[in-house]
Amino acid sequence: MRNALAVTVRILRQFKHDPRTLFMMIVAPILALFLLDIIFGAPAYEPLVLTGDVPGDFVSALEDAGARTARAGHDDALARIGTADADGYVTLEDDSLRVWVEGSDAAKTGAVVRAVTRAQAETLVSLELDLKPIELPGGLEIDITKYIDLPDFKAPEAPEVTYVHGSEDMGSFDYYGPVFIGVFIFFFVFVTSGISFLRERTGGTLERLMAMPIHRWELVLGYAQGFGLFTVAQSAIVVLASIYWVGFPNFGSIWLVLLIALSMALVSLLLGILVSEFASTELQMMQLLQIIVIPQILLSGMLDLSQTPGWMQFLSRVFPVTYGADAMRAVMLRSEGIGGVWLDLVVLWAFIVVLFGANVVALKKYRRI
Amino acid sequence: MPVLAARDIVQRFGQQEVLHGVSLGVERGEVLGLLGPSGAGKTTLVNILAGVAEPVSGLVKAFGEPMPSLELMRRMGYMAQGDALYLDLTAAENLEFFGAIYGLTGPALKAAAATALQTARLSVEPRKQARDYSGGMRRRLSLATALLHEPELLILDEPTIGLDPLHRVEIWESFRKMAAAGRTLIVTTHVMDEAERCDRLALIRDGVFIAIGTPEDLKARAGASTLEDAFLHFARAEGGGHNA
Ligand SMILES: Nc1ncnc2c1ncn2[C@@H]1O[C@H](COP(=O)(O)OP(=O)(O)OP(=O)(O)O)[C@@H](O)[C@H]1O
Ligand SMILES: [Mg+2]
Repeated sequence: MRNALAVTVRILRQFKHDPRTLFMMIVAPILALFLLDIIFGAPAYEPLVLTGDVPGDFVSALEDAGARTARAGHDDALARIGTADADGYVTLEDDSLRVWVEGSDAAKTGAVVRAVTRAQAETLVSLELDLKPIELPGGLEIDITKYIDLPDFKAPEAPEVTYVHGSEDMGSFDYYGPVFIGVFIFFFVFVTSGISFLRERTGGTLERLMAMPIHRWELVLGYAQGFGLFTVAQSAIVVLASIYWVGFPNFGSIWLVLLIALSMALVSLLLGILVSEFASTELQMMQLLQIIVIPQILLSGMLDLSQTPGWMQFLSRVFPVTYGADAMRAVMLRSEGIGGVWLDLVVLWAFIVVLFGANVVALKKYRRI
Repeated sequence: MPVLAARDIVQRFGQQEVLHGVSLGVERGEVLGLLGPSGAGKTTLVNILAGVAEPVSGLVKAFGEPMPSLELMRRMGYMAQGDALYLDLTAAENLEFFGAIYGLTGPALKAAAATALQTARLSVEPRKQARDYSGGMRRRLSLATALLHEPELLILDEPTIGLDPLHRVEIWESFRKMAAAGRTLIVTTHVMDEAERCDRLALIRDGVFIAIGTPEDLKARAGASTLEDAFLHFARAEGGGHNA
């Protein structure tokens, strides 16, 4: 135990001597979260739709639907779409709308089609609303709507939405934010701890330690404590900065968020140490990162996996990051308490225990006892 | 009872057998030199003696008990061929860390560090990271960290490599003093004048001891005036299987 403490103190001192790593581990995640927040928070794209032979009503409806418009002749329009100078072209052919789209960016194509569809619906509605009573000579008015049963084209009113979780102000990134916080901490801790333990091996100090009266578990515990303490500070700063500076919504307990972040960091730290066993250079460590961490992050539930094949969903359930991401979302977005995330935490801590044991066993390679 | 005894040590890396069954015993207060060319298996052997590596077969006993054992390691000091220091820490921090593993803290550590640095002939600069020390200074710092807890048995892998003649002589004087005080040293080297200062020498080549004895004894048996010639003599004779 005393030896573990000595290792812990040593690791904290190494951090102290390496302010750049300290800076990177705290500032880099915050910077990434800040950038993502801006990217996702940017207003929706306004497609440039060229209009050919369509009525003026339709053009203004297109603009209401969020498109930029410009008049263009048929050939000219197609040429401009060809060079991606415009996103779409709409014209009337034989009384039906025809739309050309540039097509290489699905998001832009979607924006054009949405705008055209909405404009079409709107002009139809306004057409019906234009049915004014017919005035006959002598002041008689015939309101044909009284005699014919017209379908009701009233423009739909916005439905009233009640938020069970979250709020009206939430942007689309806010759903991903909690996951990104956990994922970034996981990523940076993995890299730092893995490389730090790799240096212990390549620098000969691990071998030297194995000639000294220190138990293998004391060494691993010392690492866990050293990096644990550091990641408490790191997660606290990253979480607080994300919530109070970048402006992520947090509807849950900040302490619970920190507990989840710390648990993820510990998994990552022990995984990093274990993986460093299979690398002999820092470049190889980076290669292993790509196989071991990137897939975990992709399958963490950051992106919706509910429609993917079963094996992929199963795989995501094998990875610890998934449980951390789940728990982060539950607490930050659905304000769940410990009762709602205890299972995720249990899984994370099971990973911590297993990985701790695996590291102690892996060190047997250097010394049996 | 020898302080350290090794019997029939065989070590293999993959297909390559590096040690072919070597045995040795070291008595209290003795300086045993392991002399041999590069690649002979010196480091491989001392790693096994220090408990850092385990042989494929054979037995190592320190203070009469089988290695590896944490209790025995407490009484041993080991200096690796590489410096094995934390380069991003200062000299004092390195000493503190290694000392702490042997239970040295506070004033006891301060005193031990001062003595060890004196023995290693190093004056440390506060605040300077080990990375910024010269190669020879790092070597001496590495030696100091191995001496901190005043081990009864010291295993040193080329402790003076990269050092100037003056520091080499001074450090060997401290080795002799330690031996005179009843401590036991095993030192690898391929420098002949260092070999002269050992009580006994084990000449190692290609994983076997080709000869063993005091420097004078070896020279006499080879009919040579220098250890270098003696080594060449035994190497040509190719007599294997001597036990130290
Ligand atoms: N980890 C290892 N894996 C494979 N082969 C090894 C390993 N360590 C040592 N060897 C081989 O064992 C042999 C002896 O190496 P060793 O390091 O013991 O030599 P040495 O006598 O200490 O040499 P030097 O004086 O250069 O330090 C060499 O042929 C070396 O290639
Ligand atoms: Mg060597």
